[in-house]
Amino acid sequence: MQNNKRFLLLLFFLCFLFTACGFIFYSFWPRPPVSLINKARETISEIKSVKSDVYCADIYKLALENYEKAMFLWKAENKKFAFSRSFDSVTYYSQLAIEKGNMAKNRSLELSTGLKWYLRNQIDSVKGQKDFFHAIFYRLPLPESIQRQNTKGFLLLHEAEIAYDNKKYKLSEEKLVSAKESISYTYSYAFNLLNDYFLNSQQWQDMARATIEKSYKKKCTAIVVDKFSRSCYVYSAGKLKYSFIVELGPNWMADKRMKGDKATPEGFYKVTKKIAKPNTRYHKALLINYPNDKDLEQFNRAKQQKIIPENAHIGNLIEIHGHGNQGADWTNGCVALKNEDMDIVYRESIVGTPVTIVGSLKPINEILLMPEME
Amino acid sequence: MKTKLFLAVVTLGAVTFFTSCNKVPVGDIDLANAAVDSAKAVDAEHYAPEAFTALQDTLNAALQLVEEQKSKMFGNYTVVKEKLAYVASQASVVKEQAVVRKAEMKTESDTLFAELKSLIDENKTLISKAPKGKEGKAALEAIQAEISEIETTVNDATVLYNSENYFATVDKLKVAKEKAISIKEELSNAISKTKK
Repeated sequence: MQNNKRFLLLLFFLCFLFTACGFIFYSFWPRPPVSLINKARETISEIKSVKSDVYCADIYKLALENYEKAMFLWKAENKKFAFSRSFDSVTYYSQLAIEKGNMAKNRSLELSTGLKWYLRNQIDSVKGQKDFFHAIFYRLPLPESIQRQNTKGFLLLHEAEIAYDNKKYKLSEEKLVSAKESISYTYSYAFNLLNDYFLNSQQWQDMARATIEKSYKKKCTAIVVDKFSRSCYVYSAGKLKYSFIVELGPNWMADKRMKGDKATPEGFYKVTKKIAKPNTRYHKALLINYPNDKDLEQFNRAKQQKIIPENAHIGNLIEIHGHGNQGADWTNGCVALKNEDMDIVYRESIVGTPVTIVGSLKPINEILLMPEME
Repeated sequence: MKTKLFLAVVTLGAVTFFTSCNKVPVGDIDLANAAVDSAKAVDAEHYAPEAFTALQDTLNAALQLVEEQKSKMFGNYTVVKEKLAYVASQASVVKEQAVVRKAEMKTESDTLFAELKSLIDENKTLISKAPKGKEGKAALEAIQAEISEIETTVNDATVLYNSENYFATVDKLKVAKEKAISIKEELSNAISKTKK
């Protein structure tokens, strides 16, 4: 009985000791900042979803590093004896990770929204430049390297658009920068070419005006060819009667200097011969008096200055003829019209009809303002 | 004697109690990590990005839970084990998704390569049939330049294809294909115009 009592007492004492120890252990057991680390992890996950690693990689990296440091320190503390653990540094780095994460999130949202807006505007702007290029410069005789550069720019622009649609704004930006570089280069090349071409603009307008006045005064037909707009205007007694689309030589931007340069001459000419089938391969033709005195003078001067080879020939047989509408500048310097149009021009003209060929009837500023060109 | 026996039983019970649930599931962690790595190895990051991010998040949460349990007086790894098992099984799903998507993109790239090759060949044939007039080729030269640039794009796409970057390959080829189609239309129109 006495033994039983002692045993029960011991049992009670052990239970009490065990509970007391458990309570002390529990009270003093160091607790890690679980909710804070959870929040840090969630923040890291969240900022990745808003592509902070793309938009503000440096802040994202800082947030991630702090989270990883917190985790590393937590693991290190867990290896220690329970009561010597301290989670202060874990708390510190978790808080830092959250702070940097929030910063990265806000910055990413700000940047992605801004970039999205910027990209949309830039893509539209470059597309406008592309349309402008096609409308104004498409038919300029540009070298192959420029054509390729231009095509490359447009392909990159399209890639930038695809990336934009897929919400890959950084990639879109990269593509857009390359696209702009290519397109701007070709654009400025073409623009300079155009500027050089239009140096004689005022003279061309004066020549056209003089021809129309002549037609008015002499009550005769006069033909004015505008190389840039690919137009042939037929005036009768100073009034515009017809206008037709023409095709020229591939080197149409140049003033003809010599045989084989595939340039269409500029100047005052007149019809010297009317040629119909079977004497022409081109439906009907009006032969003009190229080279005139001015052309000869220019040719000889160029030869003296050694701008053209010594054995160069000035060329001849420049005509306004049919077989046009081929969709290209294909002649050797002649002016080609559609056969139906040529019938009219042929009918309206006589030997001696003035033919004035100019680079453009409009000044460059008007050309560049034109929204569309045929 | 009775007391000593009792104490021994109590001690053994306490030791069993403290150690039974307290084992870190190292094997499960290694398995889950290896599963995620195997998903990464098949480019799941690129070909199943959302699923892979979710998988990585789940793994991170599980690893965090491991530390949480380690920090406790009586760590319980039952939930952790479940989470790690889920990660391992989900990793296979993500891996499968990535493999399928990658194969799809590869097939799409192959199709686009074939289509573009045929379009380029067609365009080259059309160029030879296109109206040239006397001998001028200015317009056709411009188109030829465009075709050359498309060929360059195809070469660039081949480099991307060889590095298994199928998304970028497809994007590049799609753009080139569109351009090739527009050239084909332009040439066909020019040819039909002269036939009239």
